[in-house]
Amino acid sequence: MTLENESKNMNNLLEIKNLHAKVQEKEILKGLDLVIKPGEIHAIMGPNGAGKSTLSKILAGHPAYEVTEGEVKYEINFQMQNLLDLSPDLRAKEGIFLGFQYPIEVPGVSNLTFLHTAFNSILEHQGSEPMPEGEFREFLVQKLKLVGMKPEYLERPVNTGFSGGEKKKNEILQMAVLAPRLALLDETDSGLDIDALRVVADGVNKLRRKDNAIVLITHYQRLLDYIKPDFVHVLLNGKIVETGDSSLAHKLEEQGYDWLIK
Amino acid sequence: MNLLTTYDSFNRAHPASDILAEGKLAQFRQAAFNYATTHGLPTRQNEDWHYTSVKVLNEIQFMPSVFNLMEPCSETALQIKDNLNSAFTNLVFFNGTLNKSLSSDLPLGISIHENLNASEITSTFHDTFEALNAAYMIKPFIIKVAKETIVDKPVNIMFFTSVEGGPALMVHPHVRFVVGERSSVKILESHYGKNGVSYFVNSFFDLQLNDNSKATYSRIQSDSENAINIGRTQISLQKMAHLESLSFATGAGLSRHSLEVTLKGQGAYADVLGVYVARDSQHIDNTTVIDHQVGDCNTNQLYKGLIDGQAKAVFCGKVIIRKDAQKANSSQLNNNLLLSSKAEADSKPSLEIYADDVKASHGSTVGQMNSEELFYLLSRAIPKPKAITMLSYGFLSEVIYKISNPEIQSWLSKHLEAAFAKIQLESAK
Repeated sequence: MTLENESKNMNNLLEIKNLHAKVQEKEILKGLDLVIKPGEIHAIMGPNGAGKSTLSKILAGHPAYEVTEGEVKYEINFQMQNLLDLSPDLRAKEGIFLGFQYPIEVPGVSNLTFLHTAFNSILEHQGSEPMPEGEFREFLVQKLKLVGMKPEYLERPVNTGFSGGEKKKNEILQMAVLAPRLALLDETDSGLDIDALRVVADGVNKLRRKDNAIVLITHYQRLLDYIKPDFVHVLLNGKIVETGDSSLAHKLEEQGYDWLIK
Repeated sequence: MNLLTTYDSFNRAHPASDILAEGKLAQFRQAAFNYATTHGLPTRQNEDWHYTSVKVLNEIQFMPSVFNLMEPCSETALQIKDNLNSAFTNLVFFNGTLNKSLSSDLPLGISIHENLNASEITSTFHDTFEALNAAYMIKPFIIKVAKETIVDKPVNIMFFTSVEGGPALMVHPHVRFVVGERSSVKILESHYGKNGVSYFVNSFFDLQLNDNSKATYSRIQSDSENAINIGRTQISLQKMAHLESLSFATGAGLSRHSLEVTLKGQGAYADVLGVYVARDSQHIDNTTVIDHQVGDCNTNQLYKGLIDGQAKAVFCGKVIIRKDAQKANSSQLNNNLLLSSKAEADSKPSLEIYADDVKASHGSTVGQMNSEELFYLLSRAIPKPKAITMLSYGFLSEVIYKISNPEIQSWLSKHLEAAFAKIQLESAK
């Protein structure tokens, strides 16, 4: 039985079972289950306050959220390990990436230093030599093109004075540089005009690989016109209440969430 | 007062009258001695010294540095050279005395003088430290930049203090810097000492910016952790003068920098910046007065500090906008970042406005590291100690980047990096 379970789970990247979590004494997640395999794109949709952002923050290890029940397992070196035991930076080193809904401004730290430090932290974790700055700049040129950002952005402080669209592009740039195995994109589409949305979506599509998975957390079906998910989940009141293919997103767009509230 | 017990022998060995004619300096020194004797050291009852105690100065016996005129030993000379920058014109004072062999030649348009003006001979002082500085003056160091002169190389007036064996020294540097009309100059006043050595530096720096002149003034205080550094800088700006000043303090066990910026001519502009890093049990005080005496002047003050260990930082900043200073534009901000639970910062910004048509803002913060910023870095695989260092460094370097001269900017950055290397980062453990 145990053996069978293990072999069945061999291919999973992330397993969430009966996850309960609270923030400031308020229970937000109330028994959430989700399984993600490499190569998949999942969309998590739901109304405000359903727990979408909470889920992404918990997976990235934000200290303000407390898991009260359930478990989260993540594949590291072909073994499912307890993700909740790992510090946030270790999770990132093991390939988890959170694209922030509201990217943080970091005055005084240049985008280049930030990206370079992050990149070398991962290399160091993998036992590789750090990449010198000159070489890293070369490496960045292609990544910048992916999101249509000019090299000048590298010298500016992280997100400081960036427009909403620039901040979101910068998140995708970071994702491109860090090459995560599991990318959680929290409302990456919010606040974007149609051109910026297209750039961001194109960037995400180009970063899709057989061995990584992407979770799109979104309010709107709009983003899913550009990035086609394999699964669409509806998160309502702290639980996933419905799962379907991309047609579910269209149905939600037309009918809202009322039909799911039992 | 303990600091005056050596005064008689000092005065006998170095009478002022044989330096300057007419006994003016002798008169000045006598007035200063009288002031210091009458007023004594400030105590915490004194409003301006409420957050900083200088009691320790009564517990140590300091000897005037002129009693020790040794040349620096080769090891010390190397340490001095390590703190010099070949991109600057360096004027090196070792134990209070100008050391010609370590100093550079002066560029054209700059001259050195030793005579105070009659108007500079006063019997009133801002505090006992200014009076002590005058009482122990052998001769002032006066630098003049001729009018319409652009001095490209920054001028670094460097004070290095050290003594091995023998009593702890006290040094009372007295510098006056006059910038002529339509001239431009970049100045550093920097203080260093041999690690572990105890001494007392009591500096006085007067900077006069004449009409349409421009100056960058950086004061670097990187003294030995066993040193005490009390410094006063007063800067006056005439019509359309432009100032960038930055007070940088990371050294000494106890330090206080009093800065007074006085806007005397219309259209004057001043950026008044400060950066401090206090660790272990250091105490760093910045007390500033920005005085708008006439109209149409702009001042922007930004002081930022990082406090770790059991260290304490003090910021008392007063902005005065006088009755005739209409259309004044002034901002003042002090931000403190505490890295440990035992670190402390006292911040007291204040604003006195007597004119009715002015724009003025002020504020201060004392806080821990922003947890959202920290989480953002952690979520990008950056380990916590590194993330805290990067955020703290970014927090402070923002101020340094406001200095327009790239050589001074990178020189200050280098000092900031050196200070960071000494921080324990208790919060990262």
